[in-house]
Amino acid sequence: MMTKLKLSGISKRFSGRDAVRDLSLTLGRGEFLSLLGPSGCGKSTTLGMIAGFIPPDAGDILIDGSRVNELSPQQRRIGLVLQDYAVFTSLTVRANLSFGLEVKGLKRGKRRYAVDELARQFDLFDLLDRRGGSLNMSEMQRVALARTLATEPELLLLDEPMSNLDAEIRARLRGELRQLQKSLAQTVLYVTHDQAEALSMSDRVAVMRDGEIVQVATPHEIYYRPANRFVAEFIGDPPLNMIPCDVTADVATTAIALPGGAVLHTSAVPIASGRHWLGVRPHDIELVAEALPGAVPAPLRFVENFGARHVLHAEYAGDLLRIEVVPAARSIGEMLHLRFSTGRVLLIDRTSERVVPFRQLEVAA
Amino acid sequence: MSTVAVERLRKVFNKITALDDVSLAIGRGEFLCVVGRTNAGKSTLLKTIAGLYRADGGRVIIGGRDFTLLPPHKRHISLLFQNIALFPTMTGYENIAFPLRTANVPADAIERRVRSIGQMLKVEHLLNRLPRTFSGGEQQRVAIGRAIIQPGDLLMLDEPLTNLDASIRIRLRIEFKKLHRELAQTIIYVTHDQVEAMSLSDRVAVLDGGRIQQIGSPDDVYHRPVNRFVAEFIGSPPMNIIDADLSEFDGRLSLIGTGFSLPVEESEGQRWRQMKLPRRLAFGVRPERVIVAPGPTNDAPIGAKILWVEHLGNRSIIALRMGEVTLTAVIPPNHPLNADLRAWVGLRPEPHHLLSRETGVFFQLAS
Amino acid sequence: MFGEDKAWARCLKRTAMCIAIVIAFFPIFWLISTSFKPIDEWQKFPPVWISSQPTLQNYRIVFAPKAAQEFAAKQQGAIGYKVSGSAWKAFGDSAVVATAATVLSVLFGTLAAYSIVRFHTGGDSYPFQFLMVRMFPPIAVVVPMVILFSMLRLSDTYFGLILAYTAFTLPFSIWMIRSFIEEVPEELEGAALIYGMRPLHAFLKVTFPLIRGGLLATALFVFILNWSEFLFALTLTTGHVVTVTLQVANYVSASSGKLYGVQAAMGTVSTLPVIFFGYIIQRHLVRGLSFGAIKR
Repeated sequence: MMTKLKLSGISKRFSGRDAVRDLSLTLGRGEFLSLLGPSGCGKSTTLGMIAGFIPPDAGDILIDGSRVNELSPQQRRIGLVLQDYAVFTSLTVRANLSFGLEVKGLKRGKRRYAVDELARQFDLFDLLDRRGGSLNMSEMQRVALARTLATEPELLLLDEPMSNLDAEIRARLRGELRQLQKSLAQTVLYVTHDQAEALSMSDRVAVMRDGEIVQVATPHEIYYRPANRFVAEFIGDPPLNMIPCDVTADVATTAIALPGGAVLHTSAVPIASGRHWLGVRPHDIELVAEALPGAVPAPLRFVENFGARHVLHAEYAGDLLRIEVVPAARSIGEMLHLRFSTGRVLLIDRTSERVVPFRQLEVAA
Repeated sequence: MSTVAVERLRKVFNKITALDDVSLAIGRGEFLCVVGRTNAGKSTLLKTIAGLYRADGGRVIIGGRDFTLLPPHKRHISLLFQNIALFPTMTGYENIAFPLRTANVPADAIERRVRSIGQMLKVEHLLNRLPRTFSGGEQQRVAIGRAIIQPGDLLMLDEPLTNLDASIRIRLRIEFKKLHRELAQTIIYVTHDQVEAMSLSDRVAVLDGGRIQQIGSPDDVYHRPVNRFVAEFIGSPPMNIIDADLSEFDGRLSLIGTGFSLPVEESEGQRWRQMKLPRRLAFGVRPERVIVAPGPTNDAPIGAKILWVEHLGNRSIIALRMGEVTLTAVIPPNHPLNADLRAWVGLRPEPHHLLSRETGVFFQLAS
Repeated sequence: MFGEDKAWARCLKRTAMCIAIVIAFFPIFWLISTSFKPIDEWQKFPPVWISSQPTLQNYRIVFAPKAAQEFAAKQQGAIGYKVSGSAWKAFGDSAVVATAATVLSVLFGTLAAYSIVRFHTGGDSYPFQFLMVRMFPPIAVVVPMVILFSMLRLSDTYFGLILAYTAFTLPFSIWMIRSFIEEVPEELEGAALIYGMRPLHAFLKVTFPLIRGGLLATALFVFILNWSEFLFALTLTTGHVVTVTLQVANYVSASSGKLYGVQAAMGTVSTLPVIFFGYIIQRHLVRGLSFGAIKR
């Protein structure tokens, strides 16, 4: 895949604080990459540097192989859509789209025809004569995107475009945006703090924390093989369960003792004996009827009823464990017996906070 | 804590009716979530119950007393505002102590209470600092401290998690459940996120355009929505609502839509006939009830085109085009399906998920 | 912003700024310079930029009664009894009138602005109606004002002038204070009310500290308006009340015409209270000025 964008050792300092630290990233042509991280991690700053509004203190920004650090935002041929879309509310949809084409340099005569084509492409044809201010959110997103994409940017940057929207609209718009991006083969960099958005839409996800990229991988990799504790806990809804465990590392085997009695075995892994963490996803925990080998007891404290599924909160090892299950009648206080799906748990080193990969986990009899 | 009753509450601003004939009854110690879109009237409802707005009609009755004309400082209600509203010139301590100070509680008692709340909410390190130095989550917790320090008849929370990052929201949500259990207070919690509402409430009140659409337990609003709005609002992804015509051929009922046909089971047919359904109607199917298979099967006989697939780790959301209709389905992870492939779907419309196309109201089963 | 400034653009910018500074500050320079000139240099042509024989005579005439009398005696024609005295009375009168009118204007302005912002008194267009009133050139209402004042026996009284000044600066106060109050989210007062405070108390303890800077900024502007006001001072008084502006205008004699140097001296001195006021509140000023300007 051709590289569309390459960031090489970018940094930026604001009033004594490192907002972005030695960041490197590549984005392929036609790829949808999400920059995911909590507020303040530096993702918006990074976007600002790519767009050209914030000059980096160090490092190179390359688009299609050429260095663009010195170029103004207009010269970089980048499309930008921000949180509030900035659709011109007093102008018609036609005028909005026309604006985008005008920026591209189309003369008036050709523009009229081009606007119609653009509207058709983005399913806006029936809305052409509506005022910008009268549109609903989904329509506004399409207008904002159409207007920006009309300029045929090399790269489309989106900065948390959906954070102001109600939850129900977001889900629908996600799918629409992704479909659109694929049909146009547009290269997109999407900044967000919502892991569900990042996982659902992207070809690859770059997780950021404190100005640095912690892991870049496909959504599947990020979810099933997170590099460290931060990524593991940040990704996933409901969030990962962190269970304290006692590891006894031998020459040939590793024994992981869980609170409540169960012991798991695997081959030798690079981890020191001592207290560490076992990360278990809520849907990888099984409810078993009685005390089977490997099962641990945990009294039920809270139930979250989402209609199609329940998330149970059970007390275990001094904390609440989240378990995702099929709806059934349960009573608060009842004793549950839990088993962890050994294929997918994560062994997390307490000191380095890195996820330690292992081959196969077995329950001790 | 008390029972709360709102009777036919009405509030009009200029020409806009924000609350239109709203009635609610909340039991002692109940956790009620009011959920709806932005500008549905949720904040207005809370502020009117609190006394910040004077109702244009209807009554507010708390613990048996009519509060409608009582000024806010005489009601024993706590309200946590959407924009938090911590007093910027006062420290964390002073903010939390505020309700006790205005009630003239002696200083040593105040000290004790504030310290204990500070510990519970983990904000001890913020007590000597000013709000502008707090992070979003910290501001939230201090505001909660201020709201709960003097237990009143009612605790109201206006979108407390909306301004926080998604990851913090998910984790803080359970704290409200814990808080509710510990305080044993009557709570009204307002949000636009139906996931929060489902997770936290004993009962959910769905509000739209200033009118209550439905009040019920999470199971009620999810499995037995009263109208189209509730069906499409609750659930992520929301219920699929599909137009179809009911037709009878050879003694068998079926639903015919644009590009598909769904026969109704013989055993069900009797019940359907009893409902006296019109010919033109619509039916709803929850996404997790849509059966999707990579090849045609008995359960999934209808061909469809996959529009997009979202892999969320613990499940996948698929959008399919069945004839002229777009369907959303939820399936377990680890499947071979991807966009632009063909798949086969199966739907089984339930009789209590049939609704009128004109009114959007679900037909009631004959009892 | 983006890209680098070219050298010639920078040069042009600097030149433009220099010209602007010169134009802005020249009158002030001339004022101060003239105040130190002896009488023969006041109207010399070509103009004397800086006096070669600087004198404090003008200042003495302004401040020392004896010097003023001697001077008046030497002049022919009327410099009137008010001027043969000293300017202290004028400073006193102006101080009283301007301060009182400022306080009243800010006080009523706050009450009105609060009502408009929190209770939407008068509807959405009310603030604009206020602005319209302010647009009237005062000279259009001078004649009716004089008649009205005379009917109400307010002519040439301190109270009358204070009233007139308050009335005319009120729209300005309301407009400015309104924007400061709008910046304070009403949920803040709401929170105070809900947690037990009575409404007035809530305003004083919660909102007022936040708009304090804005009120001071408004007070400064209103004070400047009042202090430098001439038209009403001229028409609504007949000699009992003398403001600084009137005093300056009265330095005129038949023989020497307008006593520019003395006027300049008085003018220079009368800027001092304003500068002083601005200096003590400057800390609040910046915050107050920008607070209202940023529209959310």
